[in-house]
Amino acid sequence: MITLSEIQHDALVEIFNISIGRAAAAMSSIVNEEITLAVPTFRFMTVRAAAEELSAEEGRRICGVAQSYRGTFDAEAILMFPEERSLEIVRMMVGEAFPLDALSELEQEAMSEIGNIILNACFGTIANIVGGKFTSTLPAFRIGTSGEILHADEKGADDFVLFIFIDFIMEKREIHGYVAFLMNVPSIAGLLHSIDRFIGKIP
Amino acid sequence: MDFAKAKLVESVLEAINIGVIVLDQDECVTCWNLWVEKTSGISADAARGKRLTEIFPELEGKRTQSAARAALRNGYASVLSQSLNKAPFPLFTRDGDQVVRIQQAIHVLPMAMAGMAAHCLIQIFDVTAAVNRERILRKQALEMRAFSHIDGLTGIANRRRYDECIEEEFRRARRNTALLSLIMVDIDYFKKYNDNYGHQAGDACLKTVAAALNAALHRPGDLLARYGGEEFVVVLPCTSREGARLIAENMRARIEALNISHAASSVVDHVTISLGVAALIPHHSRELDELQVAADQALYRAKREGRNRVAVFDTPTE
Repeated sequence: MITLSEIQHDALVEIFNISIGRAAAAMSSIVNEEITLAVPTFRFMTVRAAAEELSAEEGRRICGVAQSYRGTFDAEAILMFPEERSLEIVRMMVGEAFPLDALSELEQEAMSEIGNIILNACFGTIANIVGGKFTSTLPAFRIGTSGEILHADEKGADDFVLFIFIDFIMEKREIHGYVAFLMNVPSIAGLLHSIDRFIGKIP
Repeated sequence: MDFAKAKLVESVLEAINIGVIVLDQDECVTCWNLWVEKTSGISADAARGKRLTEIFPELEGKRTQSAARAALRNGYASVLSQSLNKAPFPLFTRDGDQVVRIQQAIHVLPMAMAGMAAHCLIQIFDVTAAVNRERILRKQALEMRAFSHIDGLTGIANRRRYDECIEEEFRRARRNTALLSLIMVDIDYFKKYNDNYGHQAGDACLKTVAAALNAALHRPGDLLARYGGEEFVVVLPCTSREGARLIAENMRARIEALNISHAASSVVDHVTISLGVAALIPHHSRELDELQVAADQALYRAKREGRNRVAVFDTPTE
């Protein structure tokens, strides 16, 4: 199991919050309303453990937005909310209540954009720490159980995930979501090495 | 790439039914396809070499510009959805004899090509048809909800169902010279409950109370409906005033037994209800209103007398 010291953890939470703050500002300007995004904590875990953590309720449906990043190392980033929470977020941001209990085609696209903004901000933080060049794909919308969204049943179930907790606050409502960065073991090792180097720079 | 291949790619770009704009490192246009020419009214020759925000000043400082920069500088792809951005580009199409702004979904992609500076590809999709389709779908779904007989929050009958039911039962009772009873129910100090615990807790309270009230009814003809806000109504066909009073008292006891904390209540420290009972054997159609008014008046008397109780309207009709 990968663990970080308290100093490493706190320093990373702080830089994640700075970049996620920029994502919040971008989203606020879209909807003309104050949106706050915060990263209270994060941790490393296996894909299997992450899927279990997300499926607190059996068969609960999760709504995910996924993007792939290629470059110095390869990673897949997925923003996840419980399905009913993603309905709340989209409808608060779009400002119109759709009388259906599933996201419409256009609402799915709006959710993809929200995920896109948050994921690029989060990955930007990692790219800054690691240094180096990355390109990303367009976001893809997924809906299913946590296992399906994280592909936990496939070979990579023991791969590591950087699991970031995200609080989305709008109109006094607070919605909890997660960003998972799926990376293979060498990539994680490289990231940890970069984190150490980065923390070394912090006075 | 050989000349023939380049020519083919160019023809494809002209033929496809989406907007394609390519920007170079300085955010200047290097590609502007026929779709964009037609919808913007600006020719490729006029656009080429100009900064995107020089051509469309309204994009300055907006999402499209920052997405293009994220692609050029960081290599990140972005999506701009129609729902959140509507129609960022001033692109128009003809709908009959009207000129309408095209509703757009936009994809911004980094283009990394070996030996070349970074470029960025902007694809513009016309989603006007999807927007119209969803508008119709939304309207129909709302209409269907309006015709529905179920209260969305509590799952019991709604006001519309009550209105239909009471008229039907009233006519039936009049035809059969039978008794018809009505109970009006109100949660005590519910506004204070909402103020104190928040609207989500208030919704949860309404659901719990509705379920407990419903559990007090056993005959298939009885109906519990949400009358509005924190008010419920019970229709009891073939039930005497005393029978209705017993059911009302049972409901009151059930809610008290739930023991839902209500610190702001002036009655006791948990959620309680007040109930008004009225009954009659109908003879004239105007008596339907009278029955409802009577139950309402009884409810007010229950409140006046200290809440968490049942009051019965005394009519000479029974």
